[in-house]
Amino acid sequence: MSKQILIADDSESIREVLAFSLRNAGYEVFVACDGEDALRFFDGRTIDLLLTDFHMPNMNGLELIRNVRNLENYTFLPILVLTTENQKNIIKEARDAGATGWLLKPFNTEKLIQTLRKVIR
Amino acid sequence: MILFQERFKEEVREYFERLESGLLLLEHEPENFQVIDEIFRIMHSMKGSGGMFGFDLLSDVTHDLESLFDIFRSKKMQVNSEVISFTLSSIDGLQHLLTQEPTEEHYLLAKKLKEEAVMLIKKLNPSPAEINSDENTNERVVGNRPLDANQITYFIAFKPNENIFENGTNPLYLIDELNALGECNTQMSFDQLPDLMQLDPGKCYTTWEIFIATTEDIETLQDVFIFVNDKATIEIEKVSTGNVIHVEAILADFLNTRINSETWTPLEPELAEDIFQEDEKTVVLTETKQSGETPKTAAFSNTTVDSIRVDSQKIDQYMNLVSELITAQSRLDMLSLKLHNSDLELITESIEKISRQLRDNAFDMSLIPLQSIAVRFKRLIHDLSKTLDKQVELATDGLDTELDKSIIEKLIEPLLHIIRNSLDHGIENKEERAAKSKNEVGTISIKASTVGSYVQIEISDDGRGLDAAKIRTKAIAKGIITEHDKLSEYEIFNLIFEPGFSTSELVTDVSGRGVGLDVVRRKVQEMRGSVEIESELNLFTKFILKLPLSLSIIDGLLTRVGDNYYVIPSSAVKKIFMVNQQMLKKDFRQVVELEGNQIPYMNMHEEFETELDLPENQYAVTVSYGNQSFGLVVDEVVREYQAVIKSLGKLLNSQDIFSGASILGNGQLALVIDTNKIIQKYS
Repeated sequence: MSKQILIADDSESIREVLAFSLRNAGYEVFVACDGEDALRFFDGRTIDLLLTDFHMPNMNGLELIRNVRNLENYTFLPILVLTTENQKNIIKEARDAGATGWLLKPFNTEKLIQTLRKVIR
Repeated sequence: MILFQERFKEEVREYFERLESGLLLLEHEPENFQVIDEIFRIMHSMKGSGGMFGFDLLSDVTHDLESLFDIFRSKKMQVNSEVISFTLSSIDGLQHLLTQEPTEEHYLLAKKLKEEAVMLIKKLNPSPAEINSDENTNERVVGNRPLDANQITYFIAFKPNENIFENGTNPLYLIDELNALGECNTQMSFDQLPDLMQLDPGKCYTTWEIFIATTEDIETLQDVFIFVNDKATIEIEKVSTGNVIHVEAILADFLNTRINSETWTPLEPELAEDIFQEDEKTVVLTETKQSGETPKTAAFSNTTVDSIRVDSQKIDQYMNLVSELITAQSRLDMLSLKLHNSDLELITESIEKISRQLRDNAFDMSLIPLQSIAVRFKRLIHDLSKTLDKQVELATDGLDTELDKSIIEKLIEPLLHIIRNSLDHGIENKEERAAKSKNEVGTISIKASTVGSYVQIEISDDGRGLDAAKIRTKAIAKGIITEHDKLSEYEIFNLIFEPGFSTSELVTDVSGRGVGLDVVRRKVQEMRGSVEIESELNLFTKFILKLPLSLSIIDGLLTRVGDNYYVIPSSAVKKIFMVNQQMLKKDFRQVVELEGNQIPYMNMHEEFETELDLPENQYAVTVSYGNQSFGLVVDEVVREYQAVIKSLGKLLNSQDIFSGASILGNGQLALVIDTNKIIQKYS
């Protein structure tokens, strides 16, 4: 069964590009438009990877990561933060909250898949 | 990718709207941090996504705007109106930069916007070191990637912390990644493994030692571990130039040196390697960010994936198909009536029901709330009140009222025109208002509501009102009326809708560019709507627009004249009377007396029917025309009819008394009358 990836981003175009690239790469993809929305997907589905934006309305990436980490079955879920920041404190915050890694915008499909392969097969 | 770019553009346009409404809100609530945060976030998104989709200039400029709003976000300064105006005008500039093939002009614009933003930032934030100070301007240290295929052998010690799994990392994937980069000799060590009883399956006790022969540079190797830098000890050392993976002696030698904590000198060192300076691959830009939690709720405009975006053309197409379906269904109706087959009748009934639901559904889909264009009004008022130095507030009510998308689109221009007029001519300047003991702040209010099958929009201002005497004089001077014309106040007010009429004595920059209110009236009438005006001198002016809910389906009265059918829109119909030829006086005034009122009329039979004789008894349908009545005399009123309007096509474009045609169940055509036009033409 192909791995199921959840994308959380408030930008529709980013969601679409990610979903498109990931589907082409053979993953099954779900999309959510913010943290709150994303959290709903963890109910009743098996998510193998979470790819989340940092700045989002309603519930930002940081809160989402913390929430997901507290879910019973997702203690070890690979989580990538999608951001343009590569300043250490932002990434550090995300890491402290439990993120596995990060993906810097702008990215191309190659870089996306490459990054993904660090955390998921 | 092109598809995504288009999506992105759409998204950016949405961002612009949200930015505008946010900025306008900030004007009143400069301390609304949720809004500031949202603006910051939008700028940030545009910056990030802009680069991805090839809109580099957009990305470039939003970068500075983001920095600008970071100042307010971190509460170093308060937003002031200069910033708001600047940002609004930058947004206008950004709209031009939404191009992938920038010309010289675009570059200049971007440069200008950036410079202005930087100036503003400097002005607000005298210590420029705070902004982007840590932006790494050093060129990235590029590793000495050997151009030839010569490999280098490295040693990597990878010791994950026990808690590495907690971040969702699987160290094996990293080892896999190394394997993909070159030939590896991997040794696992379980030295740290505790007794089974103490073993926590959630912890990592394994460490790795890897020799790798690769053509990749050391940075790429470091890159493999980029996510675990802080969760593991990683040491990478060069062992030798060339692939020595299979040379046991060298490997053993190397390990011995390590155990004895001696410094290993790489074999055949060719290049000075000072590439350990950075442990992260890309240094794009860095900023001082106040990282605190962002508020949970956005102050305005929630995004949701409960809705999908559909090309408006597809909706039009859908509407079109539904209207075809309704036409086909009414033919089926006719047939079923004729055949008296109960089975067929059952099916007909259910198809009728479904197509009715489908029609309502399609209709519903193409409706959008007026709110969607409200930001344009706000923006106009914001900009204009600055230009004219008048203080004006906008009060709105009922903007959730929904109208057909195509009507909303056509409505923007007339509404903006009316608001512009109210601001320019209606609302007085501060001194004048003070002299009249009015509130210095003028008010423009927009009220919308659904009334029956049409939507009523009222735009009023508490300005100087219309001066009937002045308008009359002007109209006489312009030759629109003569001195002998006796007009009611209402009629005089309506003169301002006449072509060539403009009340302002000065041609200002704002309104009065030769485009008058006549355009407003024309546009509204094109949509089968009407516009009226009410006013009281020195108190108020109110424009009342009435618009149909939809352009494609209307409720109408199906009437017959001779052998032909005509549809009169129900929204215009007042009453229906039975009349005979004696009542239809044909003297020079051509009026019919109904309920004690003399009403001008047009006998459609006489105008449109050439072969059949005039019947003795006819029907007069009175329709409203402005605040008057007008009679349309037809042979028969058949029934109420929901008309699906089709355009008449190119060849019949030159006529203007019919707004379209509808196909009846029996396949016959019914022309839809544009009552305003027909009255203008025949009265």
